[in-house]
Amino acid sequence: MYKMLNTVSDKNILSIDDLHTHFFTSDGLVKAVDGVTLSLQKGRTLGIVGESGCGKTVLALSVMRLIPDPGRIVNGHIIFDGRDLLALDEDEMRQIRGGRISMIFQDPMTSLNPVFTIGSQISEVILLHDRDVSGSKDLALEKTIDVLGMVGIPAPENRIKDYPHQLSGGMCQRVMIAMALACKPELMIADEPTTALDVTTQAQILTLMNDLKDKVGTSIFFVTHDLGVVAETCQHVAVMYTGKIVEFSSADEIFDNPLHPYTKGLIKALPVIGDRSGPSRLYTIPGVVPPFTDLPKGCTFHDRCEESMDRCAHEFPPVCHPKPGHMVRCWRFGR
Amino acid sequence: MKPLLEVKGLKKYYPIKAGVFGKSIGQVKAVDGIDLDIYPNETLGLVGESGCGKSTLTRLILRLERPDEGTTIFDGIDVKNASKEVIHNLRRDMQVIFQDPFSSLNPRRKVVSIVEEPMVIHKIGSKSEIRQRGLRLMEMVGIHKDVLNRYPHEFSGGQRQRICIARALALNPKFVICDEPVSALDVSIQAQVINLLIDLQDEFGFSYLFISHDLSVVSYISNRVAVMYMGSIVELAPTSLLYDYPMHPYTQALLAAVPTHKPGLKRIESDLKGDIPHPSDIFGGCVFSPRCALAKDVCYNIKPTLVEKAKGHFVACHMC
Repeated sequence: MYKMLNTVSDKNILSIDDLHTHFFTSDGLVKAVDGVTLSLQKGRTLGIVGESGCGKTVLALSVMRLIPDPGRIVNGHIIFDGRDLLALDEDEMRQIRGGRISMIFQDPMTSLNPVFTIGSQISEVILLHDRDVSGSKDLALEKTIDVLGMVGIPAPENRIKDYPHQLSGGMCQRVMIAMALACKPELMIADEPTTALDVTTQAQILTLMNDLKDKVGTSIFFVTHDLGVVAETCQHVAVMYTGKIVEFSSADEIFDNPLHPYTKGLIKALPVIGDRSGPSRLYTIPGVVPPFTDLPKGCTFHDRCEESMDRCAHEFPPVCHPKPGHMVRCWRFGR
Repeated sequence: MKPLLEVKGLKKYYPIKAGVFGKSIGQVKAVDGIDLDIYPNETLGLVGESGCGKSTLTRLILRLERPDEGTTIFDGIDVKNASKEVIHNLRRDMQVIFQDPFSSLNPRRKVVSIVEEPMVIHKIGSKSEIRQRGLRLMEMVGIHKDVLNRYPHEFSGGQRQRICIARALALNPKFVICDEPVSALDVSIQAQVINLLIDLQDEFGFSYLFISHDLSVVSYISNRVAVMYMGSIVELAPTSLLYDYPMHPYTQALLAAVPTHKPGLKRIESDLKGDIPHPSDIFGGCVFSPRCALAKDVCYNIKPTLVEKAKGHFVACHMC
């Protein structure tokens, strides 16, 4: 087994080692996460990029151990702060979930409870996880107001009485971030946190997340399909395709010197504002992402790949490191 | 050249009702005085954030809804006051592609009958002629003829959007409104659909009104771009002018908010304050004044009109 980086290291807040999450559906076995090895350093942001249906959300949910039926984590280790999350019992996991690892979901409107005020929803997290508060509702509410102020909600002492429907989408996402940050978690998992938002609101939320990361020292596991967002927030990037990480490196390296044909295609297909006087065509990756129940043999990307070779149709490429710190799974770089 | 579509002073206000008797307590100015021209074989991009009135504008142009004020002239015909029969015929020339390819196709019909339906409604040709054209359309948008008898749920998002495009083109329209056609799609599929739209326009020469919240997508497909904010057009210019020399502070803020696609490169921090106000909030002056860094007294009191500041470059701002 090739190890990508030192999986157990003081600098890593999270190390995922050979993780397999499978769904046992009536249509067949879906290997949504199929042997993922990754690590996230303390205080950094790791971006997981991929198109819909590549398994990136399942990977995020695996870290939280929130895989719904008929899915199961069948193999692997998730080392968080020196402990294997997969070896914990449900009680211990509940202590960590929401307290030391928190999550922001894609759609802020549906992930907040519509029948409780935002104040009571945030203070619930604090009451459950923050030992300093020791069950005092007043103290929890005070902390709630602090954290709402921190995420840039004006007049937080009035806003705590509001219900989610009284706030705009951007405000709701700020509330979600406030809830995720309420207990100063060591790790925050953000699953497409800005996809449902407008560009100007997205810019505000990304700036906010970057600022808070520096202030609170939280590491962020950032799941997104938007390479532009990745460029703005992440220090490391992992590109995911059909349940596997096909490329992993620093963000600069991924954008300046992408190696995997899929990564290259994604970057080239990105519309960029530039000199253009009339309609012009974009670069396209041919074909579509194959469904998990019908993956091609060999490298799962080979039938969409412009650089494929005979070998690609037979065997999935192994992990190779053409450069230190740059992992790619492609026969172009394999032995 | 004569414009294909002329929109003048279009307004649509919706009342806000409250209480048991449905008393009107205010109004939402969804579309508040819009002027637009679209020429044959042209793509006009329309950019704006959610809730700015883009979709209401398309509904007014298609007369799915009647405007309170203003006129829409399409190909010499007054759309607002046209009779039912005239509208029926007009709909052949004006088609629309919606954002969500999952909810805009009837789940109980086979895709081939979805694509043929417009031709059946407008009684174009015999059954076999319709089938022939149906096959031709599917081929044009890149759907293989082996899958014609499948149902929409068997297709991916990108393929469904292709089916929507085939349906929109079934009647050889002169004008197609694309209402966020790629925002539900992945990057690699988005590029395929945009290229398809450009190719089809090259072949058939119709005009697009291309609506999106994504400025970079709009820059690829449009000849001219209009920026909309709270029911008004704030800037309208040829694509390269708008992106290189944005004049309105809102356009500048929008452009500054687009992610850079380059790690380490800092975005220019915009001075944009707060959120988009609710459309029922009432302003005396410029709709953008509460969020604008440049706003002066005049901005809070007088609503600016769209003025041509350079050739083809229209801006509605007192400070430009």
